[in-house]
Amino acid sequence: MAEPPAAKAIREQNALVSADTRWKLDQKGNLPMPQGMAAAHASSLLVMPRDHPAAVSVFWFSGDHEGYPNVQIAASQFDRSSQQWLPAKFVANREIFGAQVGYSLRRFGNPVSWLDADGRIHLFVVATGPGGWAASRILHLRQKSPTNDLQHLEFEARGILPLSWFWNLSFLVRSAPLPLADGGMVLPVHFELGFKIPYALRFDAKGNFIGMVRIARRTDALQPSIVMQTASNWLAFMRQDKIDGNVLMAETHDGGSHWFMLPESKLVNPDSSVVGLSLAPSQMLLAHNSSPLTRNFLDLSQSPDGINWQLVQRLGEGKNDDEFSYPAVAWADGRLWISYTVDRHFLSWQTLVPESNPVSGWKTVGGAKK
Amino acid sequence: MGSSAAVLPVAWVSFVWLRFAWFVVLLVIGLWVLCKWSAKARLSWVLISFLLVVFPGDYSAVFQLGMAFQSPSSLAVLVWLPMALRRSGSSSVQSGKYSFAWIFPLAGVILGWLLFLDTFALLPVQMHAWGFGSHAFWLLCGISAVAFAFGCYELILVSLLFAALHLPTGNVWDALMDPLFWIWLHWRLFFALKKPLMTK
Repeated sequence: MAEPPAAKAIREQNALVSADTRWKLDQKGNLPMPQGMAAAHASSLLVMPRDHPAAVSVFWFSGDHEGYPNVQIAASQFDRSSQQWLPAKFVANREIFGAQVGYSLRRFGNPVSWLDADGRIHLFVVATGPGGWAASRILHLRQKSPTNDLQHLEFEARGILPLSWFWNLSFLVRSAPLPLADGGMVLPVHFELGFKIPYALRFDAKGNFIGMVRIARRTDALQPSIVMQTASNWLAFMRQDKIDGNVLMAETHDGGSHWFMLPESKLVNPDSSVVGLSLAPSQMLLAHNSSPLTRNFLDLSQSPDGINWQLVQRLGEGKNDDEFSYPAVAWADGRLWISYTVDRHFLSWQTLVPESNPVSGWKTVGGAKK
Repeated sequence: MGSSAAVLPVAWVSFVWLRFAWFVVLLVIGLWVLCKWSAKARLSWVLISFLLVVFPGDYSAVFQLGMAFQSPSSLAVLVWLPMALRRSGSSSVQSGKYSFAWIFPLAGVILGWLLFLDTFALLPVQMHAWGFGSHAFWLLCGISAVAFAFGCYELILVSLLFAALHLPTGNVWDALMDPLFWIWLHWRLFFALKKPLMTK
């Protein structure tokens, strides 16, 4: 059990953007739904390698309703040649993986995806026991098909992550992992059993779990999203467990070994998921609900420091019971990809591109991870 | 992230251990209930327990027990297994000279309370996370050696199981304690303390 090397985050693709960058809508639409399913929620975007037929893969859970027995994990891919999303298919089923881990998995929930150093897709899926989301564990799946094109994509269970002594209850996952320079990643998760406590899990380049660190001892912070400022300085943006809350923030200066809380941000958080992405040094983006007490508005904001934010784009807007929530963001093929849930029924997606700017221009440098 | 690298058990080893561990638990409970019954009845329970854990799918006891309670700790299995064998009539199995003295259940109860408080971040340290590292394993080895000097061999076996197979979860605390074993230790501690008080 040797000491792992110090965690250094990496920006896999550097976008030449700045605080002056203006964004314009490139494409938008709704993600294809698995046939006959009425509900979809909690999408996870995965950037595919440059030589892959697909630019981006997306995973989400779908069924008759959230928490229903027939909920499975669905997937689609954005085909580069046709510039269209491929028809959705189910890739993870709780009965099959329950048999593989050796015990029942009562319900499936949020999936989070990651590509390891060997190009295999890993999925981390919330799997519940008796007691609903308060009895959640995180199931770790790894691609077993020789290729990861959608048509052939299959997974096998690696096991349930052992994150809690108390009957391994109750951990959930929501936000994308932070890639590390050693090929591994840091997966943000949270404990939820009355108290909501955020954690960061570390995995090596092959997707082996190698440790966990608590981000905060606050008991109302959940669904952390970790964004790098530098290789060792990271920020964690978190949902606050109250309807009239603010986005919570924590910081590390040593690659996640130690965290400390920052003052609550000025960003409103109506107890909803927030996700961030670092596009370039001093250029962070955050997708978040900005409407107090509701999820009527979903915004994309940018910041150089995580403290001062300015609105980039309103992603979704409604009223009354309309809900735009659980966003995911990724940078691929020179575009910012955003997906989010609409009314818990279907998923929408948009791509934004930086407008041509005579001062800074725009260009994507660096290659996708193979 | 500074802790030593965790090593989790291989999936099939966890799968087999889950069944063996719950087999022992079911055995102990059933044989305790049937302790005044005939040897034939108790032997039948052994067979029933075996079938309950090997039966595939949703009807398997392990399928439901694993969902609810995950895997018992290695120490629980090693403490309860000799008890189960004694209940079956075997008189040749020794459970260890230290067994059920007050200090063992007291240590277990305290450890469980610390782990319970740690679950809810009520301790200033991250106890469960520390249990994945090599320091925790060497601490286990040290305590096992001391315990062995006092006639307790179960901790040595826990250390060996952990070193060889990382059972049950790759975390030292999960090898030593699980919530059901912890609850049972409260009961054992109560009786261990009650007996000397009653004899005074």
